[in-house]
Amino acid sequence: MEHIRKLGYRRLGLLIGVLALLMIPLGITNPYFMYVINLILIYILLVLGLDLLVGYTGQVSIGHGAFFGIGAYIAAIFSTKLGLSFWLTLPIAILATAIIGFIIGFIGLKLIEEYLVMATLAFGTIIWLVFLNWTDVTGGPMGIALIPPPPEMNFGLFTLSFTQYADYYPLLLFFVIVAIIITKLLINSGFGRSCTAIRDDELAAQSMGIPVFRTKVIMFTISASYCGAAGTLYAHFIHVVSPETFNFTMSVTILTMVMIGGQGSIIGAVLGASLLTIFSEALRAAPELRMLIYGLLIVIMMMFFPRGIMGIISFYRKLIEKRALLKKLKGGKATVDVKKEGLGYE
Amino acid sequence: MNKKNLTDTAILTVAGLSKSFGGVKAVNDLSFSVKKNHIHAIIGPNGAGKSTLFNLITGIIPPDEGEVRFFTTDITSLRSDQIAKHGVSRTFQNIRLFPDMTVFETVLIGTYLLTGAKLAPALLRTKAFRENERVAKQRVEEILKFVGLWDVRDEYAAQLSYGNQRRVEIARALATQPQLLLLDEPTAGMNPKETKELMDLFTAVNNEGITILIIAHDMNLVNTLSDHITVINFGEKLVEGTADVIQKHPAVIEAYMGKVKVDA
Ligand SMILES: Nc1ncnc2c1ncn2[C@@H]1O[C@H](COP(=O)(O)OP(=O)(O)OP(=O)(O)O)[C@@H](O)[C@H]1O
Ligand SMILES: [Mg+2]
Repeated sequence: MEHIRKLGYRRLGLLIGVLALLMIPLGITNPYFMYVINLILIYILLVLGLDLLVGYTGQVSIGHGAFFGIGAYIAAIFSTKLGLSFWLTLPIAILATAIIGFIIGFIGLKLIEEYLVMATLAFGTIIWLVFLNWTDVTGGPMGIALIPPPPEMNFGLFTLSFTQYADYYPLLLFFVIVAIIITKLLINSGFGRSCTAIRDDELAAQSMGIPVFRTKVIMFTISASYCGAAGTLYAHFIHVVSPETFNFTMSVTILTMVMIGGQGSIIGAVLGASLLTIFSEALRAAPELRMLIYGLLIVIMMMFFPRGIMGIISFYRKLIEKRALLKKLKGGKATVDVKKEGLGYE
Repeated sequence: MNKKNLTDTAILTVAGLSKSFGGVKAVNDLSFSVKKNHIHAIIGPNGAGKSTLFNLITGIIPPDEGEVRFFTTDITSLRSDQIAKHGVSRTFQNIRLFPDMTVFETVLIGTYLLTGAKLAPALLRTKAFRENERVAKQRVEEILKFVGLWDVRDEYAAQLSYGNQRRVEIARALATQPQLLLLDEPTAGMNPKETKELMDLFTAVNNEGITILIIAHDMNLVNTLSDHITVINFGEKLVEGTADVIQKHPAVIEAYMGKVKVDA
């Protein structure tokens, strides 16, 4: 028993958790639900990527929908015109979005320093116009259809033939888990810590020897390539790409997911992506209303819960711990001043 | 106190440094040098340009004219992270901590120059990476014990007492392994007990071979600690010398002592 404990309940728990997640398709017969779940996984990738920039480094982008689009279009173009498989379009898209991300980050963070938001907004708009108007390559407003699924994968016991939504699920889940692991490894390193320091106090960070500009640009690059990867998966999953998917609304949607879940939190990213995907699927009939609600949500979250759902959870956890402690000390009912504790940063 | 090995080598040389903000000459043709292993105090009335001088030395703002040398290296046009890399670290007049970090995490940021930020080793968790992390965390532990914050390492730095927040800032600066430490009014707002404790800490830091350049208004602190004093007023050097010389100097008595602000 002691031995198992040493091995770590945590690892065991994680293993069971992943196995349970893999079982999900077995319990879901409605393909639409499976579709939504897959969509959530793709959004999780996007949110993890943007959160590296927004949550961990404190730099806001409202152009990440464009990186998503670039990844998707690269997959679409290379697979339909050159016949490349998913396993080739993916690294190409990651590399391409990293390079473009580097350039945009470099310009946005250096040339027009305080205006990263503006620069990313402009970038997002330009890329959207390119998708829309470069008809020879992007198919214009019609987009590109008939994007092939990933090649069949044979695992001996079972085969993923990618003929139904449930087949995509393990593949997407795999990439989400990889992305979470990479995120964790990044965050718990000198690089990740320097990003957090920059987020909290740029001047102090730089005075401790952290090259602020370079660090931000690198994080912007990484963040863009997460979205590129998500785009490739999206294209091969949906089989169609068209400009309206990758417009300003997409960038705002991803940002809202980051804010709702809680900046700088992996669980928050998962929560934010899940809740908002379900929510926006439910509001499918009224897309204008959706933008209005997103806008309001962002403002409300910024004003009252700057750390999103995860912030609220950790606040109440602390409160409960404190109550328990006070109860132990006083042996009676204790009160804690909620106002004084505060839900936000300050 | 005088046991330490005072040298004549200049660790920092400021030559003809000037900086104006609009019409205000915050620092005006200022020249002086700091000798290795000294505790060197900068004093002067409010608005004399002391903090501006620190910002110029550490590359936070560029000078209009003049030069800053660290030993013999010209660091005038370097960025503050590059200057930190050379071995100059600092604290701020208005304490600047990272709001979301514990004491330990805050000081760990100071080890950036040791651990670096290479991505591949971090993603692969190479042996060298893990060793670096271990050394960095061990250094943080040593420093926290040295400044007396080990017991509160897991508390949020911003929630500590004012005196302890200052200690965190000093610990973070020490984690960069500086040769020269710049302290901007580190005891402002402290009670006499906290001031005394911080003064002991400065002496201990100095005994580790770290040169200290300190801005202070507290004349007791200045006279007790410093090997050398530079008095500035309206951005210009008024006079410099040892505590004895400074205290007797008529220009100092007139320009500075007359309107001295003593921190409680
Ligand atoms: N960033 C800035 N922009 C404009 N003026 C500035 C700036 N920084 C400092 N000054 C001005 O330069 C002068 C010197 O300021 P500085 O902060 O260096 O003085 P100080 O000696 O540190 O004063 P104190 O003892 O109050 O800290 C002041 O007149 C101040 O108003
Ligand atoms: Mg000052």
